[in-house]
Amino acid sequence: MKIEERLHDAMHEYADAIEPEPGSWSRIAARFDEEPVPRRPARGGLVFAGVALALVVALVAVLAVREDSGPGTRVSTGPAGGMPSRILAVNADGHATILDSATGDQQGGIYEVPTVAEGTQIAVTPDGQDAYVVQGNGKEGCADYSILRLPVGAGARGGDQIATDATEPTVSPDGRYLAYLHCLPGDNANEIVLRDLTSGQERVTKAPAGMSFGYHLEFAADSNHILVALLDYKVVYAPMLEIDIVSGESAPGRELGIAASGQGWVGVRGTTGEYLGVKGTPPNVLHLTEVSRSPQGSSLFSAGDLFTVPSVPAQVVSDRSGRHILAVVDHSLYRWSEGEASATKVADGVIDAAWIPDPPAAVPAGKSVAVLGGNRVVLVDGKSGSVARELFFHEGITSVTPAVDGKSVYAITNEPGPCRGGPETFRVPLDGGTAHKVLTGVTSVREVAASGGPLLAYTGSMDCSDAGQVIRFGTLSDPGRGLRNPTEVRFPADTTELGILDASPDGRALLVRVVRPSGAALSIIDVPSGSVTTVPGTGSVTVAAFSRDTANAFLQVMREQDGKTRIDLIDRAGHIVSAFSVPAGGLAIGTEPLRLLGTTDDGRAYEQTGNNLAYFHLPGRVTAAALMPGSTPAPPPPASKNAPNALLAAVGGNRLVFLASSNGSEQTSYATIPGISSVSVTPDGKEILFAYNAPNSACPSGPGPEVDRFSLKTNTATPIVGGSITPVVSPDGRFVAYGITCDGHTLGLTNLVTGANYRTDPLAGTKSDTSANIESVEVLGWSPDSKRLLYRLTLKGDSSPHYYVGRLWPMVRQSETKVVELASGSNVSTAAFVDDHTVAMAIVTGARTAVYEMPITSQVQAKFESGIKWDKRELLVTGDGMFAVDGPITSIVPDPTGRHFLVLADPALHYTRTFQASPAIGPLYRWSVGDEAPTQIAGSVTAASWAPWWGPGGDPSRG
Amino acid sequence: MADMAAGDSRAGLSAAERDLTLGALHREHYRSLVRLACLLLDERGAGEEVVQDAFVRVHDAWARVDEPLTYLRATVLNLSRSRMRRRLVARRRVEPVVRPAMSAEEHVVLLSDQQEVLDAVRALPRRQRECLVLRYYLELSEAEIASTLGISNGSVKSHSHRGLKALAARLEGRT
Repeated sequence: MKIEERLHDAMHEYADAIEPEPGSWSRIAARFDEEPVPRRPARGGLVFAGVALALVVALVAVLAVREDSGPGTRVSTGPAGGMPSRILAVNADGHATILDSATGDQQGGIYEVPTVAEGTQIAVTPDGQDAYVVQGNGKEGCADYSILRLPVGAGARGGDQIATDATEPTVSPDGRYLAYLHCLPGDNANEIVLRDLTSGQERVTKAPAGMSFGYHLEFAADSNHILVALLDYKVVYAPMLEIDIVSGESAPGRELGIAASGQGWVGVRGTTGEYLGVKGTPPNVLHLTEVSRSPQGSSLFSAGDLFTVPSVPAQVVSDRSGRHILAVVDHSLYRWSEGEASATKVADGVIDAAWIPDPPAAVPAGKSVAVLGGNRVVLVDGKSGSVARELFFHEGITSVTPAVDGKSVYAITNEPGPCRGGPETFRVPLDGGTAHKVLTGVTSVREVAASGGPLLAYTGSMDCSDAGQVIRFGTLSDPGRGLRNPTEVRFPADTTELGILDASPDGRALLVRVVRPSGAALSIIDVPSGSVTTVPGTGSVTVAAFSRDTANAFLQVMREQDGKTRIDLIDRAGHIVSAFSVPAGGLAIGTEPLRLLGTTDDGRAYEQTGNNLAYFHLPGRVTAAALMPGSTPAPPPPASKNAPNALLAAVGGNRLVFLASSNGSEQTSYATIPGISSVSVTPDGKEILFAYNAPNSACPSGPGPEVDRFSLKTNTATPIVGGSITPVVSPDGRFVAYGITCDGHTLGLTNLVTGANYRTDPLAGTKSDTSANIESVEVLGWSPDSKRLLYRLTLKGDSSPHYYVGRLWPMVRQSETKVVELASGSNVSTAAFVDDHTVAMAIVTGARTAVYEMPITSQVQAKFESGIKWDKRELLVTGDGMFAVDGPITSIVPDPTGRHFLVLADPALHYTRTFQASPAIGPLYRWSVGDEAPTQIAGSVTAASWAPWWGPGGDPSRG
Repeated sequence: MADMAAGDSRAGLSAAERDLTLGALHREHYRSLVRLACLLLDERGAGEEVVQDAFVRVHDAWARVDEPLTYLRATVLNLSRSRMRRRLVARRRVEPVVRPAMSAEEHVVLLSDQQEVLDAVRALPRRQRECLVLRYYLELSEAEIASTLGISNGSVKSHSHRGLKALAARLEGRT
């Protein structure tokens, strides 16, 4: 490369990444009015060297002081905070619409209500939910108008008529009353109607004889007094009146001593009780007027100039705080905020306007960031819910996502970068530091905690080629070496869109949306292998994220017809586990269970936690938002002294099969298997048997579950039997038992040596020998001697699961079942063998599950042969139980000694799913006999099984 | 916007028009001027201060300014030069300031080769450095560079040629 090219590239690579801080023009303009620093007069002749040296020293000192003063001397000239984010405006055609108060951009469509008459006043309720406008019939008479109530919000287009022959609606600041002028027969005769919006009761205040009320009503700040003028058509000066209309005071009430209409009084300044007026000829200066309300009635007239408008305003409206004022002047809408030198024109073609109060500010739980107006990244205060700090300004910011350390965010812009048309990614520190461009040509980015350090993943066409989209991910090394051993997955050349929607909480999977001409779909990319698994039935899903509490599932966002957005929690097979609705728009996922931060179509941010929905009060249209990570999860606790030095095989919430040491500290991942719902390890530790949703299962009824065996050595899977679930390998390694779902529900076994398959009736020989009524069969475990099988049945018309133990060798050999029912009931969530003669039963009580030990040998042996059912009330429960955990226990897996247990609990199970519909998802515990309490060893696991002892030779699966 | 800034007669403009023009210059060129200053200064934070000072200087000297953009660029160069001088003086008197380490991502985008080039540019004599930065970053013509620096076209050619030769010697071992 030529030296000129190297020079050009190096300069641009370095300098183009530098982004100035926002607000520079304000800082510069503020200095324009400063007194210029006087120039030092030119000196003639020679200057002695000593004097020159002194001057240099002095100059250096002065400059050093100035440098130290730094940014602290900067002056903010931006508008005061808390400005309502929306304005209801009526355009020149007489139709209402909602405008962004910062930009004037229209939000949503135009209301279909026609002919909202100019100069007839509009009002919005303090909760921002309803607006009152006036509709005319094309004529000019007093009786030709009616008042409509319009719902404010996305999708609202029509309204209800709530009063006829009426104009000038105004709502009291406390939201309780609506007042309006009611037209009466006769020349300009009218009356004021006060309507209690809660009860619907009305009170009428009449004008004194021979007079009428002026055409402008306004509630005073106390919500009791109405401010209005009285007209008798004989006097030029119409004084403003203050009437305690709620208490029933009759007109004229009290005269305020200021003029009405035109260039006189026009409005109330928020809830402060001050009044607004205009003075002078165009350009007018809007001034603040304070009027005394003393009993003596002496009006105190104190004016302070606020801002200038080019002509007499037709309307002046303050927000509730009194710090933000709208003025409609010559069909243009101006906005002024306290502290600003002049008003800003927001929109043209407006004949009437009112602030739409933002809902009461919600307080986000923890730090959040939001993008306002598509160009400002702001930090949201976790205490007040307001904007704490502006972090970054750049045109066209499309998304923001947190870095894993919680100290910075990634912001992606759509501004073309060096790579043709490519967007730019900036890393923006939350402490107010300078943002740096870190990537170009990247369209989506995610950073997530992973075992080896922060995992950074991004997509785009980074090499500026037409060779398709690429996803690249790897561990962020330290210090500053980029990605360590990055993995790159290149998608087909016809891929038009590739976006990372989320990374799993454990950093082992990425959820991406892939769009190709043949269709779109969500895919899950395994980390670090890069294998891609497509999730069926997700072509229309554009927003999705892993659930933080049930990480084997994820949330998909679907738009509904009523404008709301439905969020489904689905599993990898596309089955809906639960669903709820939010207003509309985008979605970000927090680090806590089902905590969402989203944006609505009309640019508001909301937080949804469970059933609680709260809006943030941010000054501007929110186009993206993200929750910052909370505290770093604590590392797994050390292993119990009694725990075996063994492996366990588990399926993570992201359907990743992995082996781990018994304290969870060492893990080896193998493969991500869609729909995998159970796992069992052969005694030699070389194979895992599992069930999953196979696309080509052998069941004649079509695709369904299938049991496969997976070699940990070769990473290859081999089908065993189709239409089967819950495989459990016998402790002697000779058989695998499973529930058959194909062509009837029965128990099945396969000889792992010969491959011979068996199926038998799980209820044969019992009093409940009604095999035709079986809805599902799930194998729970083998006795350590490999002679008995514990399984669970669900029967048609019976919501309670039934637990059975069957003696298997006679069953297999003689095709007969010797079965006893151990227990049934919805409060029994699972069971496991403790030893050949004991079963542990998990009993759910309230929000906790206690596990009880039940000796069965004699009873089972005795009753087994006779097939007599146990009465569940006769369960032999020992003492206070073995242990208890929060939430229903869904799986208990004993080790071969029966002294150590893997326990899976799913806090959501009790409310959202049945045992048959979906596998459990939740924390994985280990409990050993002698432990006071179970120890959590993994976060979100769907299935687990003990594997062989981990001897001196290391991991036996690698042998 | 650049035409508006370059072509107007300053004398007939009111204060409001002056501020409008400066505002337009800010929108159009502020970012590139900051980057220019950073290239010259090797200090990101100082770049913005220099450019903001330059805008204020142009504002104060408006009556004398014929070509606002050129004047602005020249002021940025002059202020950057002054600042470098001050830093050199200050460095003799105080302990060197430890520059903040680059983030991991900065290293991702700023390869060592590019860093080497920038270091070599900053080691050049002032005029050579300014000519090369204006030529290869702002991509100004020789005439524009000459106007900005207040030197002749021939001097621009000469400084640029010597600067490139010095860079080649340092980076490629050529003499």
